[in-house]
Amino acid sequence: MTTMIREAKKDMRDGRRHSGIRRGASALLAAALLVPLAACEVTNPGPVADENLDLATVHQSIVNGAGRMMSQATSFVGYTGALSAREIIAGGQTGNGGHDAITQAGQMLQTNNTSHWRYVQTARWIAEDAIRRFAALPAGRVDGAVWSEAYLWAGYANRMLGENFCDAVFDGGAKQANVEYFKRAEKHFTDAINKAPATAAGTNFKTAAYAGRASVRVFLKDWTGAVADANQVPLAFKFLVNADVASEDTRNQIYFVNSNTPYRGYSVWNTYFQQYYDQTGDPRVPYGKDPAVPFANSQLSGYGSVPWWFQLKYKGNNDDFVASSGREMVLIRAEALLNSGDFPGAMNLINSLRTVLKSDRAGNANLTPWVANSLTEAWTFLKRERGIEMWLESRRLGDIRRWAENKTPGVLDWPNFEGLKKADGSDGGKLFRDYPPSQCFPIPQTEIDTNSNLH
Amino acid sequence: MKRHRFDPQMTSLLGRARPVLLAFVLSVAALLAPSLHAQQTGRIVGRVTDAQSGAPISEAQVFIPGSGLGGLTRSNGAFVILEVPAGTKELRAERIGLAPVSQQITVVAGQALEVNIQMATQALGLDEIVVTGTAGAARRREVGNTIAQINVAQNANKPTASVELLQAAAPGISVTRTDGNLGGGYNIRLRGNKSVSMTNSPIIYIDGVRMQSKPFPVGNSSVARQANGGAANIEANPLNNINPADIERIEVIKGSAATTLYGTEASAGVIQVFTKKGASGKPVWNVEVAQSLSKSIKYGPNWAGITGTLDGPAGYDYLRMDPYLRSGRVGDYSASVRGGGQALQYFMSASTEEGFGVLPNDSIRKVSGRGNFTFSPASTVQLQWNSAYALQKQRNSPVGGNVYGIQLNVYRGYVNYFNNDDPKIVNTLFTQDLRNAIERFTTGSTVTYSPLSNLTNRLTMGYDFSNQETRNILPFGFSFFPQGQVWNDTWQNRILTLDYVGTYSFDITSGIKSAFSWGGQTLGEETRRLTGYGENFPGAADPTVNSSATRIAEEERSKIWNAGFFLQDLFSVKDRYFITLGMRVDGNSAFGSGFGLQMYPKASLSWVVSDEGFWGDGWGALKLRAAYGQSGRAPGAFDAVRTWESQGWGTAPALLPRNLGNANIGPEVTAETEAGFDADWFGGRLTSALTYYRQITSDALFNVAAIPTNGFSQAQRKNVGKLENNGLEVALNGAPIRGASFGWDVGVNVSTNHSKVLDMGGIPPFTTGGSWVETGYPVGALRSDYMRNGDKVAKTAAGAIATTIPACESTAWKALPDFANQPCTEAFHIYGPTQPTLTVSPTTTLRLPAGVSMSATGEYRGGYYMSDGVTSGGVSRSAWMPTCWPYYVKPYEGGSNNYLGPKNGESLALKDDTPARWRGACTPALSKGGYTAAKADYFVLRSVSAQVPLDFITPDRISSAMMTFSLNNACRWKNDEWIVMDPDMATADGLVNGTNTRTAPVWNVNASLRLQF
Repeated sequence: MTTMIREAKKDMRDGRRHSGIRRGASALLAAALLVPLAACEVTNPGPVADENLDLATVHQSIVNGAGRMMSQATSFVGYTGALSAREIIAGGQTGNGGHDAITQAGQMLQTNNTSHWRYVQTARWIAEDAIRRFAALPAGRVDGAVWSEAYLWAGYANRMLGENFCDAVFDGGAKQANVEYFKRAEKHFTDAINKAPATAAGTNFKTAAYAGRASVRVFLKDWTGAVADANQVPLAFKFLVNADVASEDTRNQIYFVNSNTPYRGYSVWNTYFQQYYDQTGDPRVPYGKDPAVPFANSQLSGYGSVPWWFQLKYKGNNDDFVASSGREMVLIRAEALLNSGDFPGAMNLINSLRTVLKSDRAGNANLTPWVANSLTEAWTFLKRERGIEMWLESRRLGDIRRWAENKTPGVLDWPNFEGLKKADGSDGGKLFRDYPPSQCFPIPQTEIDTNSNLH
Repeated sequence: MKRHRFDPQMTSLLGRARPVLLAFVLSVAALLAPSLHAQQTGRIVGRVTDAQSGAPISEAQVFIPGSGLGGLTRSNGAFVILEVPAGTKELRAERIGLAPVSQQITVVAGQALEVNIQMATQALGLDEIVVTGTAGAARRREVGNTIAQINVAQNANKPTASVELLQAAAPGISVTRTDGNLGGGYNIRLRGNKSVSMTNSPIIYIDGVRMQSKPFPVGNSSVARQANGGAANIEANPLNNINPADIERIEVIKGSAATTLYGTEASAGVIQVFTKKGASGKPVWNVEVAQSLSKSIKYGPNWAGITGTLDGPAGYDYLRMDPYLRSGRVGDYSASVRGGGQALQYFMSASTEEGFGVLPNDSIRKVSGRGNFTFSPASTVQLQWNSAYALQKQRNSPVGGNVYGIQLNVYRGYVNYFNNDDPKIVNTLFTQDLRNAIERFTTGSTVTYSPLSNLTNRLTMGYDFSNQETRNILPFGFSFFPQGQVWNDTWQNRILTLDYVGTYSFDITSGIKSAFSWGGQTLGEETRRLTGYGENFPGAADPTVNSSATRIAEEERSKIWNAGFFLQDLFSVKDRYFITLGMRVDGNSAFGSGFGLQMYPKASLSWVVSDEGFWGDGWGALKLRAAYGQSGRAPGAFDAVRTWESQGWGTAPALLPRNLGNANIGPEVTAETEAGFDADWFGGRLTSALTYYRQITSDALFNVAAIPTNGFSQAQRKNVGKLENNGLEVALNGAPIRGASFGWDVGVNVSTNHSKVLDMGGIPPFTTGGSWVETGYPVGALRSDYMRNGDKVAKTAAGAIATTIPACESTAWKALPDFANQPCTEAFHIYGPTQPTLTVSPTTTLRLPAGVSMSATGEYRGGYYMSDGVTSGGVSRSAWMPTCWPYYVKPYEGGSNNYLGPKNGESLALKDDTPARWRGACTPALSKGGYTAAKADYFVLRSVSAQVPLDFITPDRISSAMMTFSLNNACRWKNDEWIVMDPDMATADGLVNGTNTRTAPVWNVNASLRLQF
């Protein structure tokens, strides 16, 4: 060891001329060792930290988040549910903007459509979380209109879940009956009415909440309450969910997947609505054809190329969705009358909606009224009219299931896809016979896998 | 819309740049050339040969230390050193893999001194210096873990892509192409997968400076409608922006036992590229010209006797892509010069590449330059400064699983997005103008200061910059979007390296030495992305985003800092027993606030048994080694914090739940134990290495799926899992014939890799990156639909042909007679691993007279499963898919003149005797990807090459001329069960080793001429 130290000292003497360099190197050495102790604090721009959400200036953005998710949910539930409700027919598109063959037939599998559940549930959760967040803040910190809007989206999200999904699950909890969505929606709409300030925005939200509550009370079989709420809504009123082309999340997906570019995935060919439009030119269910592009882009399993007859209710990716309208309220009032047996009164209300509309056919004459000679016939017209009025608005499945469960009279206009024939007369409907359509979306596998309360 | 094979602007730019680059290299070389003193001089001439065989040794550095005089040997081993001052000198010869030789010589003024040098192969290279994974530098004998070293000079094949230098180079290294697109990427794995949620790509250093390791991102983003396609979808690998001719060697350390000193981020292994340095002596020039012709490999269904009238039998060779493929050609041109004086040495190079690929729009232009300077101002100080710039511009064809991509519109025949399979129609896809420009700049400086003979300090500072601009235009009038689209995506990555290591060596007692090292490292990595998108042009013009009626912009930024320090002591006993103990401690900005620092310990043992007294002289050499070490992988930049994402909703801002956050998140830590030996036998004629390794990744980061009804639906990374990875690596290399004129070397690398999920941490199994993760199964398993008893014909209970097949264990299945032997479907069958479990790479080299040599390397991969990714996508859309050809009742009835649009009458009916597996695969309503899943075993002839010296026809001033021919990836054998697509493909990252709707890799033939003077 002594030898070693002696040699080291000699080396150091030899290295005296480099003392400046040595000092510099030592300083760098020290710096290199000290840098790790700086604890590496880095703040990255972009995402918003959770603690910032209590600021009053952020509240509107949280509520907008719920609305944005509702836009996304309406798109996806709307066009997928339309297959089960036979508002459209699949052209065979798979992958993006499409479905596997079984879903194309209208049968909803547990393993599919997981994003649909996520979109609606996230919309519900954001709105209800905002409500919880606002409630925890000192009084006066939350703007009344913002609070009312949060309740409104919570109500509409729960309504969409109730109308389209078979079973209820909230916040990782256990499975509950579907009706729980409607109960929750009714409470949220009630709170929205109570929280709405007497401003223009507040009045709009209050009317939308009345309309929403009327529609969920139909499912709760509270016809008195439904009619009372419906009467609060002017005929011309519409509460819209904004579709926005700026993001693929919020564009009008129903327009997008039906349009020529890129997917041309669906068609109204052979649906009841196509045949009805051919007969009447009712502007509520318009569709078009393009001789240059006669077929949907793919092949419908067991049939082949489906004529591409495209919906024209939505004319662009920016076209908004109707969540509630005064016209729907009229149909609620008509259905309430049918429940009480007053079919003439119901038909008056139904026809009051029809006869003000002008046909798209040559001459643009007003639509003719329906004539019902019995309560059963009137139910048929009510079911038809709701289908026409709310075509492609993600509302049809709820009606179909409700009427089936309640065993309401009348006939549902139902196209016979099972009996499809190819151009050569051979069978083309096997897919639909093998996979009958569902009346609601099941809880998806992703929820079952992650939610221990469902095991 | 103009379509050019070459961009004239770019061609002219490169045309102008080439002479400028050459002039630059020449002028700097002239400035740095050693100044020769006017004095009486002589010259030294001679040859360097192999001590065992007598074969000439090329590219050995022969020099007079401290004089700045020297040179490289040419292909016949000859060298000449001019203007050597008269007197007695030391002459030294060095080359990687050979023991250095020094001898005293006396030069007489005005005379030529002939000196012939024999260099012995260091079969094990026990005294060779390695630096990767060691503190500073170490001799191989001291290191307890494996280090793979790829000496480029010895590589017979001369790939034009640097990353291919790693292909089949050593056991445990896996390199797979992602596609056949020009400029496309590679998947690089070292000892399999260690992570299920973070990248498994190794980190890369170049001359001590950390460079971009992850592949360049696909040149599109989430902006608006880009998800519909309109992109080249390539993921270029940054390694390929290094000119392979600049590389001297590559060191690869494959596991945590060796990567501990790199700390966080190193658990997937470390690749370190060493570029050529200057050398004392007169300038030595190398000029290389290479031409490569490429062709897509056949990946259509391999049914014997397949026929069809529309596409014809040949039409299925490329799954209907035949009309859209061509032969590719790429030319590479490079020049370099190395030389210098006593104080300053230099290596400079410039290169260009240009050519076109097998797809109609694919073309590429590359240019790169490098300057490496070594400055030794004093005997105790050395400064190394290396800088390189690379520019790569390319134009690509639209590929990928998207509407605007060529494959989806071709593989499915007329059931495409045109409803028409006429090439005249489909070719309109190529009006898309998809361009990509990559720039990379790396600079680094290393100061080595040794104030004492036993004290060394090394400080490295480096900066690595990458910029990728992707500009995609769907022109006005484009088939699927007539209004036109344009987007410009700029992605940048910056890495700052600051690295210090000091080593102090001393004798503890006689025969016991200690080398104590300490050091610190700081790495900062910042990634930025800015995307502009526009649509709806006013008309046919060359658009910008500003030309568009609708415009959208997106921006993303993230920064991660990692800082750590380490201590290590290497104890040496009698220079044959070595014990290394060390510890690294890291902090990282991505760690949670409640986590703190991470410690990574290491220990290794090395015993050079052959240095023991009892070891016989003829027994060769043997080193036993064992090592243990840990290293990690940091979570993502945003994983620790609960955040919301700001999005637009119309003109209003909206907040959406993004990340649940995890304040306790830390790195996943991989602990590796490896043990083995290195040995040579029969006088170095046979070398062998065997290594067993076992890696346990604890606190593995899993993307824990969120409960959808709980709001934050995005999976949250948590340290919950535990993974195992183990394998055996064997390398055998022999030289059965070793003569001066004839020689035959043969070798084989064998590696196994078996992984298993040991613990899920209480969370349910999940899918990530297309692979399944579940306790007891491989890390990345193929889980998909499966047809049990699938080789039998499915029948109903009444005995009729079944058109639907019941689920296993269902009532319908159990109602069948002898149901246990009847076909049924399993929705969630786990087939097996998605990564190869066995890789065998044989190699052989034949040396012939006149310096001619021939080499061949192959690679077998097996023991894993893949799904073809194509058949189900087509069948489910009712496309007639060639994969199902043997089972269709009617063959395809199109006809070459029948491009008339949809053919509703075409039958997709299957024969009655179709086995259930194929009935499932080929029936639209039943088709699932899993039904065509199969073992993906294959063997590919990676390269066959021949090197022919042309010295005999070149003028004297050319010191070496070598012609090399090579054939790469040309022949392959595939498992019979594997029907369609090429299994030799993988995604750039992730767990899936699968095929997709991209173009299969190409095979190519190369010819290169290399001149040295």
